[in-house]
Amino acid sequence: MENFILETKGLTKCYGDTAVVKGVDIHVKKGEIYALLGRNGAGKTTIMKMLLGLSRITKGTVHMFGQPFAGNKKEFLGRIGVMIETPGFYPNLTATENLEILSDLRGYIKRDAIKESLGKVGLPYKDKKLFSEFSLGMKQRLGIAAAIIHDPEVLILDEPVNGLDPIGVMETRDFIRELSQDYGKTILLSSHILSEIELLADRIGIIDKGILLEESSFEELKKRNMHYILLSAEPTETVIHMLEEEFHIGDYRIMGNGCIQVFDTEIQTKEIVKFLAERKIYVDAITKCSDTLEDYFKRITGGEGIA
Amino acid sequence: MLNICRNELKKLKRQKTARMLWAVGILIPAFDTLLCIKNHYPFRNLVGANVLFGSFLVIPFVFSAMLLNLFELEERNHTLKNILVIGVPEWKIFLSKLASALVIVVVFMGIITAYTVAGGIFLRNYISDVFHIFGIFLITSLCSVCAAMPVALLIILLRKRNLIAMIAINCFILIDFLFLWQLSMFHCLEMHLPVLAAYRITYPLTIIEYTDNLRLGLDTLYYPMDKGIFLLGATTAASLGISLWLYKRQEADV
Ligand SMILES: Nc1ncnc2c1ncn2[C@@H]1O[C@H](COP(=O)(O)OP(=O)(O)OP(=O)(O)O)[C@@H](O)[C@H]1O
Ligand SMILES: [Mg+2]
Repeated sequence: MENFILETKGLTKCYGDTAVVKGVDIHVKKGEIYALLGRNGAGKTTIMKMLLGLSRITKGTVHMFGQPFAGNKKEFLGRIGVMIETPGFYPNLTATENLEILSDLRGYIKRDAIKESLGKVGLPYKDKKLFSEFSLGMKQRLGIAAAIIHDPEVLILDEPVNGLDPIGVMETRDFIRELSQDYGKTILLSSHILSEIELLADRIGIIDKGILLEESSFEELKKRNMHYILLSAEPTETVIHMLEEEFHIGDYRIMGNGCIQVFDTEIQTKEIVKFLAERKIYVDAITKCSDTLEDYFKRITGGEGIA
Repeated sequence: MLNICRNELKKLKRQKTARMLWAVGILIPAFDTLLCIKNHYPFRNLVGANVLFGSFLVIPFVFSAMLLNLFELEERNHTLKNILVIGVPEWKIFLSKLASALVIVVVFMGIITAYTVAGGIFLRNYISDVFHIFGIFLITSLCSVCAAMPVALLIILLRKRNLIAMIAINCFILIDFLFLWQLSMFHCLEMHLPVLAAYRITYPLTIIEYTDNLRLGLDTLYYPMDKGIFLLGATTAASLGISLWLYKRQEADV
């Protein structure tokens, strides 16, 4: 069995009668960047809250570092850095004062930790500016600084680039990648910005309406699902039937304009053309295409997509 | 724990609500001290007035408003999750807020003591035992805070609606105070309200020099000490117990 840093089994959350997270099993390996991908209201934040004991788990279990979370809460929380939703700080204090309070509560922290973590996110140390005077992006940066102040092994970041300017997004992305590559940190993040995830994540879990639809490495996903053959030939039903018989295609889709998408790229296009031609069906057009993550996302959530 | 307490107090830095409360706590006792000086009351009356207005009005008000403020600021700023993900348990958060509010109460008692002593110097019949005076305020304030402890429940229940919570605790403190104010008129003496018990059991302590009048008051106000302490203790324990239980339950789902 593989060793996961973070693992959930059948994680479920109900508010009253409505389940907002339904039987989610996520597996995060050591050192990887794992992204939870889902539309607004999909349940990403709720999952993270349950992982951290901020929200009561209706059903299911959470394991971290190979042990159940339930009995080791205090110890585990010391090894995790967290930023959930919009970061909350005291508006009447400066960034440094805010971090002092948090690091004081943590206890055992290096002397220069506050200075270092502020430096890492590009905020000045001992600045006089109050948190209430911060811009959205600065608040977000402070949130990240607070998450890394105790040099945690695992980072759980809910929409870390929310509200950052393009440069900030780039910096944060580089920074997150650096944390993972150079310091071997494990990072679980959530986002609905697909282009971000494409650039950053090693593995993704796609959540829709509380259900984990798919969990796989990005490479795997690309190979398996995001390449397809686009075929246009009449009559559509007969063609599909024939292809099913001959090539055992399982995953296909008929588009609005009558084109067929076949998601099984092992098949050669010329074989299909030859096969159909032999049966007096002439192919109008056939190409190999590849989806962007966004297209893929639209397809498997059956929705209009996001971002 | 000490650490957490210090952090609680840090959160009040540059805070408007806190400043307002400081102003209330500093101005009201000053005002009635000045009143006593102006009317050339004897020193014992000054002590009596400051116990009544200070210990039984300003202190419970400042205590409960500060406590509400400390709980409410975490809600308003969404900072509770930061503390919870550090692994600080809810009961510790609860107790540290309570302890911080008590620390503030002690500071205000110091201020009231200073006013009283200063007033005594002006009135020229001052009894020079500062510690005695401080002791009087300490005991009366603690008793009145214990009697006012049911506000903890109001605070926990209403902390997410700041305005309503503020009104509710003010009403509570004012009604309590009215009972004291109209002690005889409402036939309050037969009632076993915590605030009355607190006033009555601490009354003998606040008398600095006896007169016939005070002797009479002492007899009327008599309330058995052990029963009074039990009543206050039970009020405090029950209020805090239920509040803490509610708090833990609510915070399990932020
Ligand atoms: N306290 C609550 N009571 C009832 N329903 C809730 C509560 N909190 C969240 N929900 C519901 O749970 C669902 C998931 O919410 P969640 O915040 O996890 O979404 P999300 O994936 O983080 O979305 P976003 O991208 O907008 O942050 C939503 O439909 C939301 O309405
Ligand atoms: Mg969210």
